[in-house]
Amino acid sequence: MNEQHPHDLEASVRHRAAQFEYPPTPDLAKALRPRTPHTTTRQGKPTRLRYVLVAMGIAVLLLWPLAVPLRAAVERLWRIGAVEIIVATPVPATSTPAGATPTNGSTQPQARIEGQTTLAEAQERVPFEIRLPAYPAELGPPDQVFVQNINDTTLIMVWLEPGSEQAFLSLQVLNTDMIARKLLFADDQAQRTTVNGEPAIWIDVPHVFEYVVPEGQPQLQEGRFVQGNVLIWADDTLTYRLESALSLAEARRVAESLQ
Amino acid sequence: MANAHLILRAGQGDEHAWETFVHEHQQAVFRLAYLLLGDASEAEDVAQETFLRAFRALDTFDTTRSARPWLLQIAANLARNRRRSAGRYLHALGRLVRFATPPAPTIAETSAERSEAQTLWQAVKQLNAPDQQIIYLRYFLELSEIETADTLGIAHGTVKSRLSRALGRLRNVIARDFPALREEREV
Repeated sequence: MNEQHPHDLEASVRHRAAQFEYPPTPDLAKALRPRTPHTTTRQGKPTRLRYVLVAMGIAVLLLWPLAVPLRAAVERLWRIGAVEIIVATPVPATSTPAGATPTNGSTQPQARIEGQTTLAEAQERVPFEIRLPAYPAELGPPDQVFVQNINDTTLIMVWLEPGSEQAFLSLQVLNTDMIARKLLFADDQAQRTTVNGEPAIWIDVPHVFEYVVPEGQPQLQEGRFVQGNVLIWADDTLTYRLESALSLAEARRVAESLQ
Repeated sequence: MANAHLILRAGQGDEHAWETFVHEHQQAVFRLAYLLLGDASEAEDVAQETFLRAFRALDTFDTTRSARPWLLQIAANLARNRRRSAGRYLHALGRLVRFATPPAPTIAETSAERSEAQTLWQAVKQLNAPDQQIIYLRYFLELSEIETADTLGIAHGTVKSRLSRALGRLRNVIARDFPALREEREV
């Protein structure tokens, strides 16, 4: 009988790992200078800009427990279907924060998402026809489906990475009777675009997303700190929110493939 | 302590000290990022971001500690966040289309040993993230048990047991999917 002795395996792994060939290590010291105002990354984006983006993301995350519930000085308000996009300066409130918990990855379904169901059952519960992306061609049906108890009209569909529990695409469908909000901190963080020729919004910076419960009082118990890319568009009766790591071009292709 | 002095001077804006600091650790940081992400350009981005974050935190770094576990910890966290975000869609598309440039490492495999090393890497990548990380740190980057523990933020005494469990799971992966890696001996 043959078997692999534990010590043999360790020795084998150690030996083979030592033979592993890596790509050449880039000279990072030259690219990184203390207090250098402009240094480009490999893709040509200014490092300073990345500093700003990271700082903004961290600032939002740090402000989160202080600013909940938010009393924001609204500077600009956009609306796409059921989603309001608020550009505001957050003002810390004195009241106790609600139970919102930020997530670190927008494409991760929260472990505490309620209302998991099947696609067939979801179709029976929501008052609209569920349409699925036809692009990519082999995307298939969603791996996870949720109908959230917010007016019973929020449908969330999640597609997972192959062989993983991590999501790479989620599509939310909101009935226009309800309101959702996105909170941004500068009006250049949202880009106007189109889906099927209709107005849409593209956001690819960290932001806060919350539902507004029917009474009209924002309650951030459902709020999430979103880090991924989001495309929002609407038709006559429904608002769609596509959350992913896709580029705008790819996200639009997915959005325009719904059938 | 040379390490402490270097970090102090780098934090004060001494360019030479900073370059020395980066040169000393960039290979380990880059290699860990590469092992976790499988792409040299992404690994370079993560490595660069690692040192940027380290530079911002130099003022508060405890100079009695070794810097390498700290840097590797930052790199691992950045790589994990990157795995959750941009680029992962490509893996899904990998089911559907063939890329013009193969996503696997482009280094020519000119020897059987290097080929086996690459195959081992493919096997390790089937493990969960904590198992991957401890195997990369201990065997691929050849960190000591103490450095491995410090990087992972675990007690020094638990490295052996965690490694043992990780190797056990690796053995199952090899037996199932990578029979060419099995080293058999008669009992």
